[in-house]
Amino acid sequence: MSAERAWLTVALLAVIAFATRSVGPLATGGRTIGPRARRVIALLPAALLAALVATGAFVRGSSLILDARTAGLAVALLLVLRRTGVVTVLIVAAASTALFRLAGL
Amino acid sequence: VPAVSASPTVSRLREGARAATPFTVAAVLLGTSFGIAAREAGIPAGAAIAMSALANAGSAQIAAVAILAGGGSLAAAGIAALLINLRFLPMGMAMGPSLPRSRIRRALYGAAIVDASWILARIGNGRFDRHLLLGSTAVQWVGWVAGTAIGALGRDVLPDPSTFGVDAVFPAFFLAIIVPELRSAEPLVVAVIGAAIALSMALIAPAGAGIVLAGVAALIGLRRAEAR
Repeated sequence: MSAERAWLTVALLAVIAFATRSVGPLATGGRTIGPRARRVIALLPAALLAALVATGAFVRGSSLILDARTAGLAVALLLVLRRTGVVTVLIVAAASTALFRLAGL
Repeated sequence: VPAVSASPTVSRLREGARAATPFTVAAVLLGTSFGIAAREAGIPAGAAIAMSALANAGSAQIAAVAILAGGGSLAAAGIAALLINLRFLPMGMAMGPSLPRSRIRRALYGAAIVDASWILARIGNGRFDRHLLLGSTAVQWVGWVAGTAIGALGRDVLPDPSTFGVDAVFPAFFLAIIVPELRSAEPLVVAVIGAAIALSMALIAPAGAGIVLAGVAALIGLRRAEAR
């Protein structure tokens, strides 16, 4: 990646991050978004984060596969379902992915 | 040791920082993972650290960098980051009535919203404590930027990060924050559809397109609202 493209990405992310966070507090008191739009916005994280999890677990390049990271994330899912703390989940996910990889998965 | 009586403001800043400790540790791990991912995508260490310092947007940053690393366009990366960060819109609106009247100060307090801080700053009856928010965000920001620096600069001296399973850290974090939200039917359906869109698009479309298109699944919210 060229340095220009990298710094353009920095600027883009900085603007997006500031705009999305400051618009809400500025808007309250004046006009508000409707209940339908609010419902869609409230559901966006579920759609996008599930897409990111699925991609991280199964997509390598342009094919779907099962590998060490898939297995490590399955372990992480078990911990999350048991309501384990987030730090433990992250460490166990990395360690188990590393072990599955070492085992040749 | 003489007793030091802190002002209420300072003590609430401290209280926010203390409550955010586990998220700060997580931020260091995530930041390290992001710093490495950014370098692997060809982003210089300085730019990666600047991005974390200025944007402070973990999920949006990692999604954008993953899309760029897969050969996706800057536009696709920006749209994905925007969609992921749209959740701050309703969160900021909820916080609005608890903030000072000055528009500049409202915007700046809004810029301090991150997921964990927003949750920790709730004090009941729909009210928020802006000092709890600031204290909580400040320590997480330090952790995120420091982690990014460790990952981005350490990339040159560390062996292959996949040896340590670093590539699993971010998907695991997304699992940890999204699974508790899926206890009711509607978000669960949206998540399954979003994942299905992302997986099927990955086979036929350029990198990142599937993640952006997965946002379409949230339109289910319209249907339910109309049924009422």
